Amino acid sequence: MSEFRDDAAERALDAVARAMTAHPAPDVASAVRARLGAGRATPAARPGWTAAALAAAAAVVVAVWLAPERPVPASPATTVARGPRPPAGPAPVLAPAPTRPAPRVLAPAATAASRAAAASRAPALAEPWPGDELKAAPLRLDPLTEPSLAIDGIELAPLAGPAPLEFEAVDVSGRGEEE
Amino acid sequence: MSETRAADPLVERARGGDDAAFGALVEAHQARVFRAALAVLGSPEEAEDVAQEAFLTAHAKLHTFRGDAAFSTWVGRIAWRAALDRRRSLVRRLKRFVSPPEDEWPEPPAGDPSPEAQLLGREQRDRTRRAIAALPAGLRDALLMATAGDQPYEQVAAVLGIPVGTLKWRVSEARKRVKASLEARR
Repeated sequence: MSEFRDDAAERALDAVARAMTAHPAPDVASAVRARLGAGRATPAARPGWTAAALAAAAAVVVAVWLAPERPVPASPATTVARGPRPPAGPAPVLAPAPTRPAPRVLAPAATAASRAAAASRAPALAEPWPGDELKAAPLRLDPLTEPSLAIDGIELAPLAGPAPLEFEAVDVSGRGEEE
Repeated sequence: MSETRAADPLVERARGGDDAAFGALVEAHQARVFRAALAVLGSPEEAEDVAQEAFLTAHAKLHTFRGDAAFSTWVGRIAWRAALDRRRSLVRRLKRFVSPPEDEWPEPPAGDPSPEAQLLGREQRDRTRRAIAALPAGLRDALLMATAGDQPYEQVAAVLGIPVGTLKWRVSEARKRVKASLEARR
């Protein structure tokens, strides 16, 4: 006869099974209260708050990223109320600020037309100025009126030559015959 | 059932956001929920974690509780499903493969065996416990939940999501297999 063939043995089996889950229950309530309190104390844990915070952060990042870089204008008010001037010392050697090279202007290419236009605008240099003909006339010496030449104290007699040319006055107005 | 009916006002207050009322509900049902999780997992530590998760889930979904079943059945089913998920989890299987527990469903720390269990003797009790632990999960869960004694068959069947007749058959089948196992080893 097996010991499990009577009711007592079956009750013993059930007692063993019951003992397998007969552990004293832990204090689940305290842990649940603590976790619920922690959840309420953290508003960021709520989905709505989390989404709003993330959206605001994203908007700030995008705004900073898209903002143009502007130089800060020097304010004259910042030059007021300075402290005593520091003792003179060697002036700091500052590196020259990088300057942008001046744009290179290219002269327009000279063309035949532009050269002709420039020539037409220039003054007529071939036209003689008054007195220029005198400068250009050949030097003529009158041997009769010119002083004698002396070389080493010995006067030389003027050389005989043809008489100077005499010109008659010629009326070129065309009115002399009538008067 | 009388305990459940007495907790109904607490449920209404907890629905309205009264955390103190929900805390009272947890105190009233924590032992039952813990034992249901322990029946599935066999580890008091894991059963405590699952019980906490179950109550927190119940708090978050309290607005969906329509009151068709008792609150204890509703939260017991949440714990049952959470325990099943954990038992099926790959992480838990790997942990137990690497370092298997020395004994599933260990003896209660301060629990003296009942008079019926004392009839068996210590060695026979250990053999019986191992035979129960070796049962298929469906039969073992039904046996442990039904013999825990703090829920009627109807409520256990509701928590497990099976008809009462199916529960009774599983409990009977589990007893038969344990007997057969013990007699085969004699």
